[in-house]
Amino acid sequence: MAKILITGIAGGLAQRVARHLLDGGHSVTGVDYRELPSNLGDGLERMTVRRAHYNKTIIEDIFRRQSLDAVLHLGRSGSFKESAGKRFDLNVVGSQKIMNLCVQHGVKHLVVLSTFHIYGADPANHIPIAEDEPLRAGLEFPQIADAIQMDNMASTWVYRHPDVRTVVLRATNIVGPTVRNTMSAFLRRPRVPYLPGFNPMSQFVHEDDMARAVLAAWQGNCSGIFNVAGPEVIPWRTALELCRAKTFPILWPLTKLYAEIAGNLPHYLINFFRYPCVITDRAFREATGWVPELSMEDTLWSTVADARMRQ
Amino acid sequence: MSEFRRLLGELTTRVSGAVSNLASGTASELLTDEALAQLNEICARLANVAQFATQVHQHWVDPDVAAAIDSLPSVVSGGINAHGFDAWGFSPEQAKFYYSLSRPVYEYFRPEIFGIENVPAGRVLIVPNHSGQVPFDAIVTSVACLLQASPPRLVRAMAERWVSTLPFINEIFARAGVVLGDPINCRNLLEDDQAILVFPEGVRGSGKTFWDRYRLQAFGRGFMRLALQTGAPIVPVAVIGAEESIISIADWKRLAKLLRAPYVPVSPFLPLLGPLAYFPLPTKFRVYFGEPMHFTGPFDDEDAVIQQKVDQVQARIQQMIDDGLRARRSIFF
Repeated sequence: MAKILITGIAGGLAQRVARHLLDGGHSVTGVDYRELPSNLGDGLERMTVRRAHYNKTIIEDIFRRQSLDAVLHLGRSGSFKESAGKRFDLNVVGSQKIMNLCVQHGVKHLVVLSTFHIYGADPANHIPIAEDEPLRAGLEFPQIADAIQMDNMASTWVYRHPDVRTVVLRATNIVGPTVRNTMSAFLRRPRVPYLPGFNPMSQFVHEDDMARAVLAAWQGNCSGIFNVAGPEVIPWRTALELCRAKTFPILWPLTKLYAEIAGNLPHYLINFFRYPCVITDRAFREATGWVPELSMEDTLWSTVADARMRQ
Repeated sequence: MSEFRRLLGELTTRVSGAVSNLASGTASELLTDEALAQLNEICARLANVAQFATQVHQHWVDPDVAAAIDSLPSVVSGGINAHGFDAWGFSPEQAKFYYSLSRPVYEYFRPEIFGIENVPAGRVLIVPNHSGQVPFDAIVTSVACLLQASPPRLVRAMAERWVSTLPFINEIFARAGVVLGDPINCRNLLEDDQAILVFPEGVRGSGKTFWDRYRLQAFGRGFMRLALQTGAPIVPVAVIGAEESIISIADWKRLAKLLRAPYVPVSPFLPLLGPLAYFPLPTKFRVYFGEPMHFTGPFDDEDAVIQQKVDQVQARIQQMIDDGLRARRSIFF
């Protein structure tokens, strides 16, 4: 039985991972800076849950009181509802604190969830993109600096602290029925825009597959940075068809305005509707034997099914 | 064609319907589901070439093209996912349509193809001279490789980065098998035993003026490093006839900069014919595929060493061009 800390427990992905771990007989503590639902339900009542800012003292207590075996840091805030300052505080300063605590308290395994957004969708992108390639997103969109810095920090950790086995997962778009990230919310919209004349190749991974990827990263003996991509690569509008979304065309000059009106839609995301950012997860599959189990149809439809029924 | 007319008719009624809606409706009525659906439909028909293409392509697919694409190893052996795409966005079904559209262009130049048997199966770099302002040489070479080579070859043309930023064009090119000209793209495709079409002169070749016709511009070295790295043979190709189809007497650099285009050709017929001056003349294309050239050595050698090998390819292509020009009796026949 291992003692495991999971951050971002208010999110769907972290809860799935927690459920797998609890079912495996492990002891799990979940933390989140966001408000937690009073009833997590479905067997999650066995888990200790704390609301804590990643950069405050409560989190230190958790490390002090329990001798943790592993930390799964899944709680990166990608939400642009938060100010840039708060995101920096959570994602960069908070992550640094968590990583420092891991070293101090002799945690053996650390998994950090990063994002493929940091590669950026760029006309110069070749296909596919592997882990050691430049992160172009910051070139056009400095707002993504916190995500890039967090990824870099975790990546440096891999080499500076070999006693903590660190795995950084740069996941493609994570979607699924209980995930509430920007991409999932975007696909659930009653009308989803596309840019006429552009139909870039896109990837999606289901939260179930992603949860298994996190577990595979924890259980395996690999360390370093790994991309995690979904089952297939499909054009953006094919993805919208699989979501059975009502779509509408939007001209490029109006997209920033749309992002403002739609809210919570980071500007850098708009480039992903224009240029491809296709990543390869061959290294991760070889290191852990992980393969996505859900098809692209199920991955996308399960994400939007409830929303479509309501609509 | 009848399908196309039907769609056009439908579109006209829809547009007029939408316009009358706009004229009579209040602001709230304009945002009804129906109006949005109509707008969507119109844009899809007008602007979304791919969707439009999938609807009409059944009627425009050339049976030879369809048979050739169906026989491609990447299509047969599962290089295409369940949704009909490879990772670069190539779609056999849509490529059938685009290649069928290219065939009239191919026939327009009545190309005479020599030595197509020199195109081997497996990984290969097809390296032609580049000319003619608009890449008709690329279209003719690609169609020749698909329809004349045995087995049929789908060449993956390497495009300028600029192409990825062009609306519609980027999507059509990707579906037809064109990829961004990047060493990693190229290496991945060669390792997958595909055929690459690369113009080492780049825009220096296609944008050159009439005064420099059939004189090869400086070759890049990237293609040679990739050939050495992947052990792929190089098939030198000479295209004769493209230089005279669209004639440029100068490159309008300022306008090109303004348009962010690599070059803007100035036609000598511009004062006389206006935009028609850019209509390609029906010159006869002669395409010579040379014997494959094999190179060995480290791919990361010094530039000077790589350059020697590049010079051999360049000299071979220049020789083939000169021979072809000597054999040519007329530009048009």
